[in-house]
This record gives sequence, C-alpha cells and structure tokens, in this order.
Amino acid sequence: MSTDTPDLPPDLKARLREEPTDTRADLKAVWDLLGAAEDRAADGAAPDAAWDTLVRRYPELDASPSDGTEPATTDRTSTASVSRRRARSARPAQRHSQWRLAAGLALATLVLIGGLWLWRQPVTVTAPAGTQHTATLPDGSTVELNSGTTLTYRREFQTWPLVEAAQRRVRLDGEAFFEVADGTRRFAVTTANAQVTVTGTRFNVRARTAGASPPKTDVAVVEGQVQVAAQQRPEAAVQVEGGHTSRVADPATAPTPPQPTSVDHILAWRNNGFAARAQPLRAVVQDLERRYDAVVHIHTSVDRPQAPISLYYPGPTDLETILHDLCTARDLNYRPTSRGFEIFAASGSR
Amino acid sequence: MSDARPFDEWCRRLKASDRSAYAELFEAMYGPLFRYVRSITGTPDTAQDVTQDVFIRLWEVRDSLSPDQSLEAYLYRMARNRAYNHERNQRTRTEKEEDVREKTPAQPSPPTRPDTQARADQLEDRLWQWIGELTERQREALVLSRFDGLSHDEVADVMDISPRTVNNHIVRALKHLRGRIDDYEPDLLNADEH
Repeated sequence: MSTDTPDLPPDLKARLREEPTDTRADLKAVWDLLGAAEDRAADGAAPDAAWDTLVRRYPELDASPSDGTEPATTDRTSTASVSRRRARSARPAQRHSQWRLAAGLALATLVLIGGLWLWRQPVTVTAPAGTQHTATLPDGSTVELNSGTTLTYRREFQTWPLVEAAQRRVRLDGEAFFEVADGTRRFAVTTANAQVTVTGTRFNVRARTAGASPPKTDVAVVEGQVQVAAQQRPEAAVQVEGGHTSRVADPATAPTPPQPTSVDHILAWRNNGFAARAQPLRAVVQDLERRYDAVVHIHTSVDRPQAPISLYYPGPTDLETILHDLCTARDLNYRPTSRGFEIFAASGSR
Repeated sequence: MSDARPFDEWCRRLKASDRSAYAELFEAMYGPLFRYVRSITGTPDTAQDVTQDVFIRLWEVRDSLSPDQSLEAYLYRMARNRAYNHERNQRTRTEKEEDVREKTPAQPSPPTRPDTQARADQLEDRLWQWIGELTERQREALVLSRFDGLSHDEVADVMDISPRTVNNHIVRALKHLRGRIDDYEPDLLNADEH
C-alpha cells in the first residue's frame, strides 16, 4: 500500500490537464513522492492502547465470537485479543510483531514514569468555605485548617519513595494552626511570600491570597519558637516566641519585629469563635463570608467601608449575631438576601 | 480501496451489536482516521484522543446507524467534527493564556527515529514539515485523497465542499510542495518525470 504508487485519482487527473505539461509532470511526481511520507503519517497512532481504553470503557467489547452470540463467561482478556487478532489477520501481514514489542516496552516505561509522576504529586488537604478541618501529617504533627484553606505537602515528606526530604515542608494558602511534633528535621511552612520554620511548637499562620492583594502572612506563636522570614530575604529571619506575632507584608521585606499579642483572639476560630482586630470592614466581611460560606454584600450607601473594626467572640457564634453587633457598632443596618445578607446605611444616618 | 472493506456489511452487523464487526472496523479504520485527524490537530496525542473518541461514540450510537448512509463517510465526518471542535476549544483556551503561540500553527511534526536510514528519513521529515505549511483545508484534502485513498466525491462529502474545490485544494497543495522540493533537491522531481 505504501510503496507502490497509486494512480492519480481520475478527478485530479482531469484537473491536471488544465495545467501546462511541465507542471502536470511535476505535480504527478510530487504526488508519487508523497508515498515516502505515508509510513510516517500514522506514527504515534497507538491503536493497541486505544483499543485497550475502549475495552476498559465498554467491557462488553472484550469477548466477541464472530457469530454475535453471547460468549462463554470465562477468559475475557485472551478472547479480546483473539477477536482483534482475527480481524487483523484478514489484512495483509505487516510489521506488527516488532511494533507490538516496541509498544509494549513503551507502555511499560510509561506506566513506570506515570506511577512515579503520580506519587510525586503533592498531597492536598482542603477546608472549603464554611468548614474547618483537622489533618494529621506524616510525621504525626497536626494541622487545623480554618475555612477556605489549602495545605499541600510531599507524600510522606519524601522526595522520592523511601528518600526522606531534608525538611518537613508544607505549603499554605489560607489560615491554619500547627501543632508540630518534635523531630530532627526542620518543619517549614511556605506561604505566598514567607517562610516559617520550627522544630516543634504550636503556632498559627494566616496567609490568605484570595482578595487581599498583595498577600500577607501573619504568624502567631502559642508555645515554643519559630523563625519567620520573607521569601526573598531568608537571611533576615525573625525569631518569634510564645505569645508574640510577626507579619510578612512583602516577599522582599524583612518581617516586622515580634509584638506581644492576645493569642486567644487570633485563635478564636479554633473554638468556632470569630475575631477581628482593627481590620477594615471589607476584610472582616470577607472573613465572615469564608467562615460561614455566605454572601455578605456591602451596599454603596455604607460610609467608609475601609474603616477599621474590632470584634471578639471566643466561642461558637452564628453569622447573624455578628452582623447584628457589627451594624450596631457602626450604626448600620442589615437585611437577609437570597444567598446571605446585605449591609446598608441605617435610614436617617446620613 | 473502499472495495476491500465491506462497510455495508459492518454497518449491518454493528447495528446488531456484533462485536467482531466492531473489532474489524477498528482494525481497518483506526489508522486512516488517526492520520486524518492528525492532519487537523497536529499532535499525535490529541489525534489519538480524538480518534479513540470517535470509536467510543460509534459504539454508543450503533443502534441508530443508517444502512443507507456510507458508514465510512460517517466516521470521517465524525472525526472531522471532533477534531475541529477540539481545535476550537484548544485555541480559545490558549488564546486566553498566551496570544503569542497563536503565530505558529499546529504542524504535524515528524517524530524522530534512530539514524539508520538517515537520508530517506530526512526526506520524510522534510515532506512532513512542508505538509505542515499547507493550509488546514489543503492538508485535509491531501491526506484524505493521497494517504487515505478516498475518492474526490468522498473527500467532498466529508469536508462538505464541492469536488471541484477538493481538486483546487489538492492542486494548490501539490504546487506548494513542488516549490519546496524544487528548492531542496530538484532531482527528486526530474527522476520521476516520465
């Protein structure tokens, strides 16, 4: 099929008569020459792999006697290849056996590489909006994830199967409280802009990227000591002790010096409470939306949506209670909407 | 070419869910459809997905196959639609991501092989490179006619154009290739000229 030259299709032949003789001969030569390219046209076709996929999808294709009746139930795989091989033998013999060996080897390699690739995919733990989630890490450390938070880490904290990574490294987008098990390897939390490292302690990291641009990382330590550094200034690390907090505002700027803080406020979320400390109304509302998985809309009538606000609920609280207090404090009103609430200016206040 | 492949019979047997007919059809048509799809999508991986998809769909719709319609043309049209859909989706996706890559059209890049028949391979490589320079329609018509052995009427049916336009596409494609071959090694043309 590929080597002997098929004649020009009649229509094309007729069409070529409109061309000058030279051109006609040339184009016929090109047509013939294209035979050299035909072999390659189906490279990468991998019909066997495609057939396997089809059979996986429709197992009924697997066993097929040619009379179309139901096959005996046993020995599926062999009949499958038989049915295709039977079809195949009807065609002129081709370089199939060689091809199949190569395909088999390629497939085995692919499976191996694919397996390793899958293994190397980071493990992801997520707490969607409206939920919180506690995860145990491979080293026995525990992490509590606040709503709308994603944590990823290398499987088993290993770089390759059975090869321990130099650090216990996790990547955080959101807010989480870590209780790090003691260990010889450093435990490192990487955020969008900062690096927090410890060997064993309890601390909170808040590094939200959604909405708040540029991202900030806030670290609050309950017990022990942690090192905080901006991503591009690893040498300018700050040591933060229990009861203190530090912030990385920019990947290229050293963290703020440790400040004493009320850790209870920061950790209120762990007891299903809620706290905001002199934060803009907009940021507080964003936190509330994430925490309660609701839409809270700020109406344009609200003055100074960036003005700071402080709230503290140490224990379980529902969204409406918080909105009520918030509106009372700021002389605002709120009303329920189909998906949540809307905050608007109290009538007569302006 | 088509005479060796009993499409009418396959169609009839497929309608009766005959799995060996499906296997025979797969064996006969997977390669040609793959070639054709690849002439549209460029990369073998995509072509494989699309071709596989065509066969999946074929099994799903086997009940509703019409014996009056050419099964072969039906397969090609299905492949064509899917290939173009895929291209369109791909294009809108990459356009959003990076407009720059749009400048280089998908070309069926020839895969590499060990260097045993270097010279013959080189010609093959060149030919594929030049085929990649053709417009999509020219390439489609050429592959269907030259490699898949479809008649002009069949090509016209699949591509939904007139047989006359098929001819024009093919002649233009051949002329483009002639120009390239002439630049590369004019002897190739003269040697075959008789």
